[in-house]
Amino acid sequence: MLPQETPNCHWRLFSEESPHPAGTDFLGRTPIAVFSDIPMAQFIINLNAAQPASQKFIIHVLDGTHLFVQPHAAEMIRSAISEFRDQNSYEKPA
Amino acid sequence: MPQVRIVAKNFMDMVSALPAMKLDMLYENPFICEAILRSLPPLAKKYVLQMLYIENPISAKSMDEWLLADGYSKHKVAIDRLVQLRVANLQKHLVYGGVLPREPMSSSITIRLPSLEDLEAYALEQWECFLLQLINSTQAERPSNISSSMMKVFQRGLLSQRDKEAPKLTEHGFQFLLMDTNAQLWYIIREYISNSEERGVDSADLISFLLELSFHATGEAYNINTLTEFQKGIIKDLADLGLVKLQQGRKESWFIPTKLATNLSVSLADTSSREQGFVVVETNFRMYAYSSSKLHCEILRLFSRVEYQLPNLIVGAITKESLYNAFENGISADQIISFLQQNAHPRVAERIPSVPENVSDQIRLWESDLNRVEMMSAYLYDDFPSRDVFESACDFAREYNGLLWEDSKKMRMVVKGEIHMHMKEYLRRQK
Repeated sequence: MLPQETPNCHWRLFSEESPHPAGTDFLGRTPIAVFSDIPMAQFIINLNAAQPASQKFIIHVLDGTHLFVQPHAAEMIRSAISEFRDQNSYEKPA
Repeated sequence: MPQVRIVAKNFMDMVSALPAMKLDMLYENPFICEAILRSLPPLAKKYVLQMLYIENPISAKSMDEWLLADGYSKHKVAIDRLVQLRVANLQKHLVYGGVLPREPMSSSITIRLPSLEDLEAYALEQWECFLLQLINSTQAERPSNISSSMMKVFQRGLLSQRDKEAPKLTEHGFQFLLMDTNAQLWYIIREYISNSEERGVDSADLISFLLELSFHATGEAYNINTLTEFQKGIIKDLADLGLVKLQQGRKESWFIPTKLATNLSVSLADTSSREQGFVVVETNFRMYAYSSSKLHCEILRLFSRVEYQLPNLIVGAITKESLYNAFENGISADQIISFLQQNAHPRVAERIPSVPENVSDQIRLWESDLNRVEMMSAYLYDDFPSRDVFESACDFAREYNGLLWEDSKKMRMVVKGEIHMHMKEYLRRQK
């Protein structure tokens, strides 16, 4: 993913100036670093791949356990993880 | 989840936090001196007693000479404590001792003193009623007499109120409920004292009266007329909390300190006054609590699914859902496990561990399952002109504790959002 495709994230320090203060997006949020274990990182990458092109949120895959994502993705990731966790729980049928 | 804890400091931390003038005034009272002496670490106590009978001031260097080589760290702790408490003024009172300003009432007056068990039951009942009202539970049988403005002070930090909604327990509130009684008592007393200035009551006087109270004998009656007006007002509040019991005879009225009051000067780490436990946790995650107290039921509901409530027994189960509920409310797994361990029924308390390992491990596993992914605002820096700039930028970020990730091969680093502005400035200066 090239930097020009994410004009709202100030992450190229020496070349680009962000139009918004301190590199935040139009809602004032900053990009997010995601730390997790390897399976969850894969889960998030998978989630990203399933998104349509305009909504992909991973800016960079740093390594097996670290990701760098767009500001708005935090809620989406959290709700996807909690749904995944619920699917993993067994509820005895009443 | 952020580790937020209520720290229930004991009296000595509060006393040492007082401004120097007030502290010196406190030392006028011989009981404060004795209480402070009792609370010091052993080495500091030894130093104080050694210094008591020496007339001239002692230099710090000669104190260092009293020391063996390997005792240095304990020495440092002791000296710090002594300096904090400005112990130099202690001397006069310790040497001459002190007498309580009042004696227990003589038994020639016909008073029906409650037995020690009755007194304990009374204190417990008052305390529980107060706590139930504090958490705004509908279970409280009768409203306590504490004024609603005082209640609001205590509830500050424990409950949060949103418009049109019933007040809800905050994260601190949940943690508070799981603490043991002494720690809870400290928290309430500390709030009471810090609020005293606002009500026009001098905190130094309040602290000295409370410490004096802790030297009275539990279960003995003391005449109320020996108290000043100021102290009488405080006694009423303390009666509502369960620290003293007020009784009235035909001509006189008196107060009886309970165990809660005499425990005030005991340090938090002292476990000798632990009340009897009541919870049995089995390896199949079922929980049996031998208690009929509504407060205990509310507390257990915080993290377990209560299934039956019998006259002397509460039966419940620790389930994933009930624990997730607790974690979302800000309680940590360690707090739940230590609550279960501290309140373990005597039958299982001797067993090691008192809470089965599979239960405590599973509680921790469920907690870590909620925390598999950590997200924080951050910035990625790359395209460094040279390796030196990269290294120095990394060191700069490390100093601010803001370096989250780095890759020296590709010269990229991820830095916490909070220090982004500093980094930008730093890198502009390097250019």
